[in-house]
Amino acid sequence: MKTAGRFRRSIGLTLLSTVLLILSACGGGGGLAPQTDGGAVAPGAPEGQTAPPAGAATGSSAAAPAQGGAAAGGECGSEILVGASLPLTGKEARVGGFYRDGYETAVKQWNEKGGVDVGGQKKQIRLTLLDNQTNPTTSVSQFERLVTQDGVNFLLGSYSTLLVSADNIVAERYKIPYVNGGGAASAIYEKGNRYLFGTLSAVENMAKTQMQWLKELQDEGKLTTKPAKIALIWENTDHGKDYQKGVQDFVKANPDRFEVVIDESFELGAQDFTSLLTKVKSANADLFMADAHLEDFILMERQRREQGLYHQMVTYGARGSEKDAREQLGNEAVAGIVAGTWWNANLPYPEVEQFVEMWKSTHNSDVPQWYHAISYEAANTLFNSIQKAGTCDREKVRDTLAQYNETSILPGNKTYFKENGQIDNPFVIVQNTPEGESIVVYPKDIATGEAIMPMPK
Amino acid sequence: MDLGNILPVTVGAILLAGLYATMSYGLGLIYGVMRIVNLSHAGIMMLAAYTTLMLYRSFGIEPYLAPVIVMPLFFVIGMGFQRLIVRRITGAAPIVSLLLLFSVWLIIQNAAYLIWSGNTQSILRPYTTRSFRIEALDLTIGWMRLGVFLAGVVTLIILQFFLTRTYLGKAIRATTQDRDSAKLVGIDVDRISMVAFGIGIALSALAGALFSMILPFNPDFGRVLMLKSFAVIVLGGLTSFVGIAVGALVLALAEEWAVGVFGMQTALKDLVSFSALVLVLILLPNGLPSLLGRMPVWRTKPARPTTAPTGGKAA
Repeated sequence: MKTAGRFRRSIGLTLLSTVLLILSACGGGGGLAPQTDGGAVAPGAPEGQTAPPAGAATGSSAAAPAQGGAAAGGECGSEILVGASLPLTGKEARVGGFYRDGYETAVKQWNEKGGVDVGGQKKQIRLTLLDNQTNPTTSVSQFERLVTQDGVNFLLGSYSTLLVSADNIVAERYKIPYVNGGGAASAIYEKGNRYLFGTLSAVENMAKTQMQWLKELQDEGKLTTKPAKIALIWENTDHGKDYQKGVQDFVKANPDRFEVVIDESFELGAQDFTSLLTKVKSANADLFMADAHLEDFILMERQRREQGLYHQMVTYGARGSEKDAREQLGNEAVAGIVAGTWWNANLPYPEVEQFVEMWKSTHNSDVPQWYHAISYEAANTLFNSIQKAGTCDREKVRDTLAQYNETSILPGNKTYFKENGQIDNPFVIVQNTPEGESIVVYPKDIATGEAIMPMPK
Repeated sequence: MDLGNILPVTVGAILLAGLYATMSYGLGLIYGVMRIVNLSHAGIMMLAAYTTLMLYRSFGIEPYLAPVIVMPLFFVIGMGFQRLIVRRITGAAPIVSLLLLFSVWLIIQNAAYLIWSGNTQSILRPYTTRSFRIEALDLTIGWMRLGVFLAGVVTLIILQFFLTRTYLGKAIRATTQDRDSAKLVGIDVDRISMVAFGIGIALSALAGALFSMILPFNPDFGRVLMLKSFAVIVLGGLTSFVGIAVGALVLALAEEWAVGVFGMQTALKDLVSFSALVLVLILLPNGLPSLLGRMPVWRTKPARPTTAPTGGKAA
């Protein structure tokens, strides 16, 4: 008995310590910094000034601002200091890198044009980028440090709803405009924030745009089932909840057109979707509408195909049209998948054409992805607002952002913010073709091809 | 409750159990022999997944053949690691080994970020998404899932044979039951620990190599799988590989039935695993096999040592 009790205690303690250790590592990628540019460089800085190392000590001490920097009230020195913390390592490193490229490109472009005109005086922009390792705690600390130690004038936001929803508290605390291109969940903007602005339209809008498109397909006779039965699958995050709400609200408003036959959430990073897909199969749905991140999309779609499930239309929210999806699943597997995206290089605006050309020539690469466009536009919006305000005064720039309504590269050709600070642009619906392309199928006026509907078996 | 789903959900659970068992053998063996919770288990699986990917991309080696290279490679690495590092902390407080192996996991993970970046990878071959149908039962089964399940079963048979029929296996069992007595009968306990650690790492690598064909992975791969492995080995009573296989089956059935038959949201699936872990730790600290001991039909049999996780007859 004594031995058994000791054994029991020892197992219990060991496992408790183990779980605590693992949980302590959760949330962060824990990654070092595989930074392609050799560290947290401040692009645009005359001497390539390097920011302190990633994950370095933070603090709330109001140390003296960096040279050329800002006073606490928000006036500029010889340069406009802009700070950002991005997930350059860890789970979101790939997308974090896209956002870095978008921010840096915008900064470089403005600086090459002489800088931002602040009350008749051209000022260069100096961007300090830190790596938060995809860790919300580190991200918040780094934004604190950018404001209190580096004395930045303005902030550019992080990527992913998780990080942006953690960071924006810093913007409110220090009353400093924070423009982000990485937080899409509407929950972020429902906290009465004054200084938070986002160029990613709400995920709920994506769901509604997809539903509107499907409704129009019914009118055209391309989607013949009425009401069309929907399998609604969503990740258990604010992102997923927004998507679910968008679909459900639309279905409730159109009960003769659509019916949700299964409404199921799943946890991020699952290892198996067999039971979920068995439920989907039993529900006998016509349309498969999921909201998932890349990892879950890859596994779920593989298993959906393994199970031999057929649906007239398949979407994973914003996933499926990106290069990674094709690389990881193959052209054949992603053919026909529909995605709602925040931007597409085929948008028929001259600004988009110029942006794509500029991107291809400056990056010596393929067409930019939506991540690049959204982050570039977030930075552009901030710099434009400073110029329009004619001052680095944070309150005045904040007010200018709130009134902002300018031509841009985003869908709708405009960037403007709702009262809550989030942009309200429409989405673009794209569909993968068997040839490995992604065509715009909605809105009609910018469509580059006809939707394949229903999907071939 | 949807009883119509019982058959496909149960088949899915059995296949999932193969995956859970395969990933838990290595963890169980190392714990059994050395009383160490190998917190680098997730890192080893991730590294093996990337090694499989590299073998395929650089040398064109089909992923299903990769275990033939990956297992011996990781066996040697495991032995070296035990010899150089783990041996030094033998006998230290459990927290020392936990911290050491946790740090090793972080180092492996960070190295992977540096080498392969954080991009999600998966191995795509014509056979990786193929499935077959059993029309009479209206069942579709993926070949790769079945392959992982069979690999789990074959591994179990080989391990049982090794531990019960070979000198080395018997020495490992003796060491797990009583280190001091094993020394007294002339077993080189240090060497046995090194070999057992190597085998444990090779088994973790086997799991990683197999999973790379069915799951997407990145340097953070394995975290949840490792937590599930803890649940499996605790359910299995830390007594044997058969116990681990039983624990894996019970866990997979509980998870899959909760969702597929009893209608629980998929998002709550992990709640089942970790509730089972907590309940078993409180109510059945020696795992599910201890339930058998309470049944009258089993009571007449000789008692098994409660503190001696073994790989063999204790099952």
